[in-house]
Amino acid sequence: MFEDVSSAAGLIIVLGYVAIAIIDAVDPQLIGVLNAYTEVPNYTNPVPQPPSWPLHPFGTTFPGIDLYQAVMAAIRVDLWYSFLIVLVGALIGVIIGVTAAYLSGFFDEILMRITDIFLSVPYLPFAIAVGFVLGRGLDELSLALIVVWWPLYARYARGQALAVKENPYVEAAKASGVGGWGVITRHIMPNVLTPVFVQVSLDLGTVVQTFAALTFIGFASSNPYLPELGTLISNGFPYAISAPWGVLFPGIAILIFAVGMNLLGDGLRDALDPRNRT
Amino acid sequence: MTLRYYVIRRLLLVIPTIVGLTLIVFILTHVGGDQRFLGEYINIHSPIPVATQEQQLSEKFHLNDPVIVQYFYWLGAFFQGNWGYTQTPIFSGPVLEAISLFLPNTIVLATFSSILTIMIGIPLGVWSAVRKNSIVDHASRVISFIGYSLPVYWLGLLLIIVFASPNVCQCLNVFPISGAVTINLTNNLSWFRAGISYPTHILLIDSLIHGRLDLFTDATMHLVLPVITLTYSILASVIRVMRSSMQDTLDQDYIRTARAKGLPNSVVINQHARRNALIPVLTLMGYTIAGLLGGVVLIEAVFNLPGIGYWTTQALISGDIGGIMGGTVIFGLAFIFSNLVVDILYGYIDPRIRY
Amino acid sequence: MHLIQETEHNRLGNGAKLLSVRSLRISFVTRRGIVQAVDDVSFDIEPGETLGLVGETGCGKTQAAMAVMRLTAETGIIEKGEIWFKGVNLAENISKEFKLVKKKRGSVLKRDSAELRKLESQMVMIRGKHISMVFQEPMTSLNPVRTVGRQISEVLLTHELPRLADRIIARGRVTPDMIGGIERSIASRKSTAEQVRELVRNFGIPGLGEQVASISSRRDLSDAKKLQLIKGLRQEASRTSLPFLRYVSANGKLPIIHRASSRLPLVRRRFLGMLEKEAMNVSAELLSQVGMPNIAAVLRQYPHELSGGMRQRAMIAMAIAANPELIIADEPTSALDVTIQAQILRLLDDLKRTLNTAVLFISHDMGVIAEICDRVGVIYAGNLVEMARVEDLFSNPLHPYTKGLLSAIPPFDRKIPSLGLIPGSVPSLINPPEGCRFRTRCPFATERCKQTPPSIQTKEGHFVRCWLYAE
Repeated sequence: MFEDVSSAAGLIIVLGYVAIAIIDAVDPQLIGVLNAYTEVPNYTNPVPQPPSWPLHPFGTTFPGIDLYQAVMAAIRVDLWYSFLIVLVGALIGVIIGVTAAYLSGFFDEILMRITDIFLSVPYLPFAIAVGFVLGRGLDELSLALIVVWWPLYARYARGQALAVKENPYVEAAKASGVGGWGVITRHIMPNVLTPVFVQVSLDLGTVVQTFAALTFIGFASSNPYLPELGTLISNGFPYAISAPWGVLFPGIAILIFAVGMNLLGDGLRDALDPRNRT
Repeated sequence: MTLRYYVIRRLLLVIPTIVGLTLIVFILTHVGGDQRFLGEYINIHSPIPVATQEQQLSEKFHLNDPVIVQYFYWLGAFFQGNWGYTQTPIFSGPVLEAISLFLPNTIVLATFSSILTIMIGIPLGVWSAVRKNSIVDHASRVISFIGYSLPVYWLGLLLIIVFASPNVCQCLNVFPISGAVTINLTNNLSWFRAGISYPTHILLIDSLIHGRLDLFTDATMHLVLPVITLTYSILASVIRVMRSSMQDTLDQDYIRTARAKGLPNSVVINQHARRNALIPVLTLMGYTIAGLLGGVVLIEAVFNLPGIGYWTTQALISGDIGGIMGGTVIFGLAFIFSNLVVDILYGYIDPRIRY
Repeated sequence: MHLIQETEHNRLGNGAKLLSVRSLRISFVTRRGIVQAVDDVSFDIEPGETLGLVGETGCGKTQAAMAVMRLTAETGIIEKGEIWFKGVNLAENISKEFKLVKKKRGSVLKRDSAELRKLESQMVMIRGKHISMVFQEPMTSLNPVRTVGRQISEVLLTHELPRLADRIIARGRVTPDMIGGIERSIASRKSTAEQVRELVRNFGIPGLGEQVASISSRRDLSDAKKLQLIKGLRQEASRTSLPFLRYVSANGKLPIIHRASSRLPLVRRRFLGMLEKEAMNVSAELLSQVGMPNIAAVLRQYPHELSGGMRQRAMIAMAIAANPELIIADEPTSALDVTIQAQILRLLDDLKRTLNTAVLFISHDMGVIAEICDRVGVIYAGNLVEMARVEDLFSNPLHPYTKGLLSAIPPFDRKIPSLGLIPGSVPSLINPPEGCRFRTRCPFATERCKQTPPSIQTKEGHFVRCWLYAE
């Protein structure tokens, strides 16, 4: 994996973002963020200002918020929510998928029908609908996205588990007295988890984008000054032409993370792909 | 089994899926709580006291009955065309009417983007795989990679900044900023009211019908940036999948046989490899279409195009249930039917799965 | 390199070889180094003879065969050697086609795409038509989304357009008198097949003989039914299509207008469709020749609907479709079970005799080789170590490796305590042993073996590369 320059670059980028997020939580001053949990408006000068050094390296956005600090702080918020969504979604999905595969028959059918119903709705409008019903806050949005995301993992995990289940060594394990739970944990899970893991790393990039997309559309935290990349873009949207930096920098932040995550995910997938095992 | 049998079976499967969709929408509608649901219909200016209104409405909407019964009443109303009422800044009225006004524009956007994606994406993917490590290959991989890492709405904003404003260079300030049409051109038109054109609600067609070529050009210009943005983001996935699928196909034994039969390279690539490589691409079409539908929502929000996505977004912000539910149903149905078409195509091309 | 046409230059006289491979060296560039898969391999095939190449898996026999067709994989290069087929060297430009650039870390393979395009344009006329190939795995070697009929027709539509056109024209030119003559000839028990053929030939209509022969040779039809089919041979070709057909017959390809407009449905059906239909007829005849049951159904079926044996028959039908001079069969029976194996081998034997095709038969199974080959070459680790007539090889194996191979076959007529083993394992071909590649496992190896032994002829037609037999 590390032979490949691009995946190494991806890893560095992702680690960089994670580092920023951790620093934000622990000691924000290190990277120049005064207040990691809120954006500080400046009502004396609410008009967005272009980037200037050293005071406002990214400029300011409406209403007078320093963009650099806002973006740095927002990274933590976005990363936190995105990781949460993907990991919880994957967990639920994998459990349901493997259970369906293992139980097979009637339960399998029921679970898969339910999964299919969820899959029959495209994710963005569905997330909007669910989020709307639950409320327009970020936590509700996360819940909505988890609801949208787990069916994919359920399908995927079930497919993998089914393929593994048919293997003779599983039958052998069962014949030699290994209980159901043992079979699942020791034989099926490891084979399922590897491709799921790869899928998770690829999805993280997508989720960050989707999360920011939905906040851009209208989901927002109850705290209007919680730094969040999508919200920043929507704040800057009315001024996109007169003050383009307001939308450019948050977008670049999302883009670079997505690029890094995708590079990493691709590299992982290539490394773990059984065809590459020579 | 034959193709016909497969198609029929697949069509029948659509029914439970639609049932499931309506079930979801119904649950969502009622999870919000009866009060909120009722709140839409209560007329505070009416002489009838609010409490009585609530009671009357509860009876009218069968809210006191068990949930299952409610579902059937709701389903009945649904199939009779009563999808509720929507009140958003851009439109107020029955949901179905809103859909008929907004859907055409979304269809236009989606159609152009899909066509461009297929026309560009598939050949590029094939070329990329056939000439591995060529300039074209590397370039398309980079383009594709950036494409699916980019937030689609941000790309739209970027394009606006570059091509619709003097920020980068006045020479590039070619396209209009937003909306579907320049307002000034539409004053005093009998067939254009409140942002909607008649009779087809598609400005491109209506302007031609009424012989207004300038409006046609204007509408086209307004569509260029949105279509480019949407196309690019979908294109990225298509190129990626087409390329990897083509690579896998070229490794197959039957390609070697085709060459051993003395078939010229162009035939091998176009008729054997590409056709077979399209099969996995088709299977992933479902996911791509989901992305397309999602992207439409974002693009319409950024570019202010009066389509379904825009209406849904407005509904979200103004807390309008009718809009949200209508939007969800429409998107769901679109998704279901496009998946149906994809599955049928899949059965047509690959005889192995008809069993 | 010029086209292979029936010129004086390459019409074979008696004793001229059909295929002559000289000092072939093939290498593959991998991340771990250069694999010298085939080194200094030479063999000849006479017209109509069956040459076997035997060796264990990975010894390079398949690579040598693929090189004959110039179908070497992307990472492989023919470093040196000559491949003479009917007087033309198919490997004439290998020095211009590939360049192996040795760098600090490993080597890089550079291909000249212009040269390779030239090569391809030459080879597509040879592959399928003069040399065809039957592969080991019929399931994966057939396109899963195309019907069997279409896949066989494809060969015909690529290489045999004149034959198809001639057949259609023939049906228009045959007169009722001729039909009567043929009928009488078949009905009278006294005429042999040869006489019928002579009769038809005398009519002077190309394409007619083939159709008559295919009907009369069918074993599943009664004579009455055959006569009925012969009567049906008379079909007027429409006047508009005759010029088209004549062009195709004379030039072997479609007129330009048709090539371009063949995408339009109506035009396509009219002209190209005629040829396609005829190709299907010929495909049916070919399937009958390879003993396929249920031909009408099979033509419309997909590969996954057939059994393994049937698929292999279909592949063989594809291989004989254009009447090639040489068929390369790469382990055609290895993926089949034993009873089917026997059937397919018998089929290949029959075809070999009726069509007088040469066969290059590759296998790891000595038993199969013994059954079907005239001569056989033994390959070990990319070297050809022994070559002899089949009887000679089995009765008097010379090379230590051959002896080892044969001693590992259990004899059915007596009991032996244990099977012979060759100790050790095949050396890595990235750094093969210097000189004789077998010396690391050979019980008779000496210092001398570090030099490559020359090819020594011990008796007529029996060659061995081993110092043991040097003077």
